Amino acid sequence: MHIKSISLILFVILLFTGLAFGADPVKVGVVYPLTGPIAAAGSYQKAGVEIARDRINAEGGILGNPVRVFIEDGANDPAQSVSAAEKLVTRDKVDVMIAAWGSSPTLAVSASVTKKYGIPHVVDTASSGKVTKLEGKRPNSWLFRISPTSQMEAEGSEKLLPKLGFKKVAFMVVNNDWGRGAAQEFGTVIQRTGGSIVTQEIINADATDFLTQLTKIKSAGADSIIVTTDQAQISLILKQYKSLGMTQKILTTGGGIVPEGLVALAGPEAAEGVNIITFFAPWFPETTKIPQEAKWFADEYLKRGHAPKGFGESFRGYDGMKVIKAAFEIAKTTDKEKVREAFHKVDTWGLSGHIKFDEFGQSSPNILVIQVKGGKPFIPEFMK
Amino acid sequence: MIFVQYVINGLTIGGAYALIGIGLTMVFGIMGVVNFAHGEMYMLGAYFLFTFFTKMGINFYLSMLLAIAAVMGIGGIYEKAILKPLRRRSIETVMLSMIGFSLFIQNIAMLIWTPVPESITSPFPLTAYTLGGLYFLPQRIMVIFAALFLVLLTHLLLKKTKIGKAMRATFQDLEAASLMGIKIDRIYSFTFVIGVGLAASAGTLLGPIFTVHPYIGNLANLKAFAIVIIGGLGSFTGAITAGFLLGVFESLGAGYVSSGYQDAIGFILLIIILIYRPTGLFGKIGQRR
Repeated sequence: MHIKSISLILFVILLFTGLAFGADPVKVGVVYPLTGPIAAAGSYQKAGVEIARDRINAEGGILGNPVRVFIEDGANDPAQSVSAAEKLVTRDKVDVMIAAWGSSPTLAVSASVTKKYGIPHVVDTASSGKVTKLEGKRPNSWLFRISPTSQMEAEGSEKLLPKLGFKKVAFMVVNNDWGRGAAQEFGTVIQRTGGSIVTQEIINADATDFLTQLTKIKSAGADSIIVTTDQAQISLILKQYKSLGMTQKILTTGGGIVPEGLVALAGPEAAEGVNIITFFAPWFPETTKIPQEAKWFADEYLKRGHAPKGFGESFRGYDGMKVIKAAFEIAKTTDKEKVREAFHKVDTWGLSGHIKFDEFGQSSPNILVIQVKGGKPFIPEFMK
Repeated sequence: MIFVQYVINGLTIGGAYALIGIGLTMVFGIMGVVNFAHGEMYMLGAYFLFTFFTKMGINFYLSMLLAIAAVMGIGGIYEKAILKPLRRRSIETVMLSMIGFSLFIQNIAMLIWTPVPESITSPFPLTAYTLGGLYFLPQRIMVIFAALFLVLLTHLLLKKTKIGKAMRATFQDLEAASLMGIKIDRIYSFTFVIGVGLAASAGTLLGPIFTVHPYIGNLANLKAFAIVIIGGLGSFTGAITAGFLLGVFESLGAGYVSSGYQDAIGFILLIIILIYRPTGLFGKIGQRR
């Protein structure tokens, strides 16, 4: 009995040392915000990356080698994200990178790290158009983006907005590239569909009180509000909106919002009826091309004890790892130049839809609209 | 009509600002300590309420008291362990220790509660009362009254009790107070714990209105410092007036100018007041600190 267990332990140790010293791992560097106001989103996405890593390693790794993930904190701050990415490249010598959440830090890492050192760079969150297209040109030929731009989101929901009855629209957007960009892109689409913009309220990322903005929207006669900011702030807006007895229709953009999160943070009463733009709906695996994997992912995420409010972000990290695996397997090497070429040949299905890059390194994921109904996620008729 | 609604909105948030401000002004006024961890004490107050009430299901008001007591305990330990040995050191040393403490608390909170934002269920109705077309949010009204009550309580403590007298004596002349047999160390500990308790009570009052995450202290700190400087360092009346003033200015600014400048408006107010009254609204000229 004892000899058996000792030999088992020895075997396991040998197995691990074998992994550590025998095979040369594929190194993936990740820069996410793990501290600061956006830390929650970063932690959800980290969970997605880890689930993907474990699945890939369980299935034999990449090119027969295990995958090792190095995660650094960029705090969603350009300067801190650049130094984190720099460290991953120079000290850890990563083969590929997922970075750096928001548009501003992503632009910084792209310009001063991945372009400079020639590291394949997967962007899984940032939505500013500038990341893949700057004055009609591709700013960084090493960068590949799987998250949609605000413009893609707005155009993807163009046919849906009139069906939702968005005519006199008010905007509430967070004061950064993402929020202002979303207001601009959705504004164009609203005008194209014959609607008008009643008022545009720009809110600070750490603001908690929105009574004044809501009072203004109410008195301006808006029939609907498009909100672009993170889940915690949207929940506060919803709570205060409900307090004021407002009935305007609401649409959230950006993809990080899930019914569970709104219900948990704002309460079921305030979350009811909200329309949410999302790129992956874990409750409806049939909306993806890979329903079995989608269901497995959702179960695994919850099984690991992660909060359901993080569903809206976690899939990004998973898809980021998936596209990396696909590219390395096409390249059949870790040579960076070959991997870059391979990214252009990737044609696979992630949780958020078809992953295939255009000449700017931009992929076009699903744009779905779901609703909160009875405190639960609901797919409206017009989406089917 | 909308103007009146903006003013009401401003007053409701102003009550919260005043509450955050008084604890900070008190610690500064009496001890000369700039408490950079004030916002973190506010955050801990909210998190303890979340743990006791939402997680453990203890009665709401009892949970509030427990949360405030827990934060006061932490403040007391910090005062004894770190601030006391640094008593005779320069103000910079103490400031650095406070900044370190605030970072430490933020990161500990991330470890314990994770960065995932949480919501404290509220025992108050969500829907506002309407009166003549104006909206009044029940929980916000409660915050104003609670703030005024706590301010009154602190005022009575300072003016009517023996320890309050000793605190004022320490404030006026440290050495003379010490010569009269006042135990300065004890007064300092007591002041710090009360100041921290006021921050925690603001956290328990505002936690259920807003969401709770480890970084809510940053905004609280920012507002608290603006209020304390506008009102005059160490002035109670000043902190309360400045709290309401800041709330109303922000609300009117967001309503009539642009909500993008909501925070900037507070600081424009601060600059204007400092130009005309460098010691703040209620600060005395030539005051020791």
